[in-house]
Amino acid sequence: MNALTLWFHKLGSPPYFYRFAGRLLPWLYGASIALAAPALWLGLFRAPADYLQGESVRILYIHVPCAWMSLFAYLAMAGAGFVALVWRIKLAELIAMAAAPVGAAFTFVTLVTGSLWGRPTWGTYWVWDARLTSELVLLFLYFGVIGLYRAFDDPRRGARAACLLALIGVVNLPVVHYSVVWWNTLHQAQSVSLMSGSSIHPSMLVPLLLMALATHVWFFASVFARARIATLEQEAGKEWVRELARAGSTA
Amino acid sequence: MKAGSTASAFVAVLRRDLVVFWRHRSDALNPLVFALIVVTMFPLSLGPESQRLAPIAGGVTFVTVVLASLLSLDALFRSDAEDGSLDLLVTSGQPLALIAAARLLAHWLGTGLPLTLAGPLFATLLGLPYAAAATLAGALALGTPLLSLIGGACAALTVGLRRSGILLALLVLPLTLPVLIFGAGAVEAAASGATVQVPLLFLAAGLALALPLAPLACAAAIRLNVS
Amino acid sequence: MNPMPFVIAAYAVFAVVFVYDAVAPWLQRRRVLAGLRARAAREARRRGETGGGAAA
Repeated sequence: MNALTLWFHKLGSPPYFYRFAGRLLPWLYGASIALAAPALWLGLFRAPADYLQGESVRILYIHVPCAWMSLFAYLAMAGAGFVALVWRIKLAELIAMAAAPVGAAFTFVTLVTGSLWGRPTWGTYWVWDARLTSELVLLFLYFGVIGLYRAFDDPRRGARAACLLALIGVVNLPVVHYSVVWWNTLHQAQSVSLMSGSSIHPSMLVPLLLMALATHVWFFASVFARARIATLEQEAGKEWVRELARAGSTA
Repeated sequence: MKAGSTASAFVAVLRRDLVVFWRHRSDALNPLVFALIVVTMFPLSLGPESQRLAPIAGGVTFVTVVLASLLSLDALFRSDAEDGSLDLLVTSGQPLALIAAARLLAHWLGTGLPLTLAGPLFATLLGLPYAAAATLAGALALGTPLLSLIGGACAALTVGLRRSGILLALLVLPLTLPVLIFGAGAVEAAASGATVQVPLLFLAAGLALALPLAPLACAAAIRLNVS
Repeated sequence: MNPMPFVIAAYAVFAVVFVYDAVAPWLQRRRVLAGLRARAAREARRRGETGGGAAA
C-alpha cells in the first residue's frame, strides 16, 4: 500500500479528519479570499461596462460563477453520495450532506443575482427563461435532499437516504434541464443570451475566472468546515471528542 | 407457473395488491374525485369564459393528474412497513426490485390508469378541443406510469418517517416536472397544430429509462429503511 | 434605468450569504463543544453524588 492510499485510509478516521481539516481550513478560506478580493475589485471598478448591457454586466461576475458552482456542488454531492452508498464510508456521507447547504446557498445567490440582473436588463425581476427556471428546480432538489436528511431521527440512515435521493436527482438533472430548454424554445420566450452579442474581452474574462476559482476553493472550505462539525456530532460519545471539549475551543 | 419462482413471486405481490385495492375500491375513486374538484376550482377562480379556460385546459388537467397521483403514494409501502411484511419481502430471497415493480404496477393500475381514462374527460369540461384530448390521453398513458415509478421510489425513501406527507410531495414534484413539461407540451402542440411526436417520444424515452431504474432505486431505498 | 443600485444589491447579497456560510459552521462548532462540556459536567455531578467524589 503506497503513501497515498495509506493517507486516504487515515482520512476515514474521524479524529484524523478533524485535525487534518482543521489545519487545512485557514489555507482554504485564505486562498478563496485572496482570489475573490481582486475578482470583486476588478469586477466592480476596473472591468469595462458592456456595450449593450451597461453597468449591469458587473452582476454576471458573481452570477455566472455561482451558477457553475450550484451545478458542481450537486455533482460533488451525488459523487460523495455514490461513494457513501457503494463503499459505506462514513466520511463520504458527511461530505455529501455538508455539500447540500453550500450548493443550495450558491443556487440561491444565482437566482437572486439573476433576478437583480434581469430588472435593469429585461425590465422585470423574474422571467421564466430556461436558465433561471432550471436553477429554481435545482433549488427544489437541494431542499429535498436537505429536508429528507433532517427528517430522519437516525442521522446515518438519513444521510444514506438523502444520498440515494441525490443520485436519483443527478440522473434527473440533465432531463430537467433539457426539458426546460425545450419548453422555453417552444414558447419563444425572451432569448437573451447572457453575454449578449459582445465577444468577451480579456478584461472581462479575468475577474470571471478568478471568481470561478475563488468559489471552487470556497466550496471545499465550507464543505470541510461543515463535515468537520458533523464528525464532532457523530462521535460525541468518544473519548477524543470529550478531550476536545474539556480542552476548550481550540482550532 | 412454478411455485417459488421469481415470476410467481411477482404475480403473488401483484395479485395481493389488486385484491386489497378491490376490497377498498371506493377508495379508488378518491384520486378521481380530487382531480375533478381541482379541475372545478379553475373555472370558479378564473371565470367560466371558454376563451380563458380552453388554452389552459391541457396544462391544468396534467397538473391535476400529477397532484392526484401523489395522494396514494404515501401509503404505498407504509402499511407493509408497519406490520412487518416489508421485512419479509426483503428477506424473501426474491429480487426486491421485481417485487417493488409489482407494487408500482399495482399503484398505476389503481391510480394512474383511472386518471388516464378520466383526464381527457376533465379536460373536455374545461373546453379542450377533441383532437387535443386524444393527444392528452396518449400523454397521460405515457406519463402516469412515470409518475408511479418516480413517486414509488420517493415513497420508499420516506417509508420509515412518521409524518412524511408533505415531504414526500416536495421530493416527488420536482422530479416529475419533465413529465409535466413534455406531457402538457404535447397537448399544447396538438391544440395549436404543431408536431406532437417530439414530446411524446421524450415521454416514451423517459418511461423506457425509468422502467428498469425506478424499481432498482425503490429496492435500494427499501433496504436502506428496513435494515 | 440606472443599474448601479442593482449591482450593489447583487454584490451585497453575495457578501451576506457567504459571510453567513463562513460563520455558521464556526458558531455550530462552539455550540456543539459547549453542549458536550455541559453534558460532561452533568455526568460528573451525577457520579459525584452517587460515587462520593469521584474525579470528573
